[in-house]
Amino acid sequence: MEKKNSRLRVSALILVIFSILGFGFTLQFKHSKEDFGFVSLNTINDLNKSVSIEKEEVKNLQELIKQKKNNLIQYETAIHQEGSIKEVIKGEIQSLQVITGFYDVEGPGVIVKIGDSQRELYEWEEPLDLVVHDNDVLTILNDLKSAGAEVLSINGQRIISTSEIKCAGPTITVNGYTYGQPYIIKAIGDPVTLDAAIKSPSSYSAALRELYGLVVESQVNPRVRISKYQGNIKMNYLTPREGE
Amino acid sequence: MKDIKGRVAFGSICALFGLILAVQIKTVNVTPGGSILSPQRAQRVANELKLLRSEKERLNQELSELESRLKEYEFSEADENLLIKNLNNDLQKFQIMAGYRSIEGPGISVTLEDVVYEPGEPSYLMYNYEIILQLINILNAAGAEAISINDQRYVANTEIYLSSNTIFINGVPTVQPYTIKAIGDPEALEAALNMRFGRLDQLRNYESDYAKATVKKENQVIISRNTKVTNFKFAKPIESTQ
Repeated sequence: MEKKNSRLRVSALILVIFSILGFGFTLQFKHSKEDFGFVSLNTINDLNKSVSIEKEEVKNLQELIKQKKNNLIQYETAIHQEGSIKEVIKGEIQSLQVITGFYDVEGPGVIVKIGDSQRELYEWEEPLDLVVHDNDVLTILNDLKSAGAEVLSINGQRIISTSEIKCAGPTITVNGYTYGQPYIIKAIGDPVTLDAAIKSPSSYSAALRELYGLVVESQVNPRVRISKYQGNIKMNYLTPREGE
Repeated sequence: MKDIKGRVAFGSICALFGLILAVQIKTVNVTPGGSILSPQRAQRVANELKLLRSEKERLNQELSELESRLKEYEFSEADENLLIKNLNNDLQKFQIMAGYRSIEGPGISVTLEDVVYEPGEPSYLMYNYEIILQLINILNAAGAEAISINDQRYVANTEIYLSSNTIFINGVPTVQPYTIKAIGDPEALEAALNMRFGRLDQLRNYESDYAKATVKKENQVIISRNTKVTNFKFAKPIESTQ
């Protein structure tokens, strides 16, 4: 009797386990038959990122449409009142010149001075470690832009979209003009955040100061003046796309 | 004796069960992430994306309508008046500089990509995004007339920064691979990028385990316009003193 009982128990146990197994298998199969199938976290991540990109674009477009509608109203009132849209176009050109760098501007901001290190070399260092490189200036410019700088200049050269910062031996060349250190970067924007971008302990500027002893100083100024770009626009290769 | 036999059977079944469980967990781990809930969530996000895209489509249409109406005004007068014609030329020139117009021309395209990349995870290029800044700088030094990164036109105050494992350009999040397009003399641009001991040379020789780059000359590069409106809050125009 006891023998039979134990065998029954084992059989029952096996039955239960196999039923669970079978259930598991079916669940698995069912899943792979669904429309979307197995969706990895990567796909969701990609989708989420695309959504945030599109959201940003939609927001920008709405802003742009608002601006264009404004322009249209301005045109219409100008034609109505003066019979010509000359003045409106002139005003538009001026505001474009301001943002592209072809007009003198003034505003609150900071003045940053970058210079070579004055201290002696440590044993493991090379002389090149203690001087300012073009990439240092480039990174500090980007830091300032990230902190909301609207207009920037290096040693009086306005930074525009095609400005280069070229290493030329002991000097750097900006907009085709060559300057030696120290380099003076002027930036117009919210003075507090701009100043923080240079002074914050985790910034690139702080690393240059602490590790190599370079001079990277910022000074808040309520009236920073930046003059316009000195050169001309070159458009030998590009043409505007029609209909856009 | 019988008892042992039963136990062996039980043990072997448990072992089998354990094996299957382990295989299951392994599969879920190897295919990164994933859960039973995800199909629904993915569908929801996909729907949202579709909605946003159609919204964008609609807005773009509205925008082009508005712009054609503006152009009508600009050109109706330009026919009669040379002064306004010149003003219109200037307007277009500065619109191009500000990134408000789509443009095309010969140039090059550079593609930067991580060798190992998992979305949402930090990657080599993210923590070394100054590579992008340096390449843009090289292109500008080689006489590029216009540059874009992943369709974000590089303008005077374009910033590139890293936040929550995403690189933001012009305030817009971007996804790998990073494609830098530039309009200019293709030969000069390519030569500048591929310079020996230059930035890309360094990447190919010393960082090839982490990132790869390809440079391609193009007869026709299209750089689309920025939709973001730039408004300065702090900088105010002043009359030139010169």
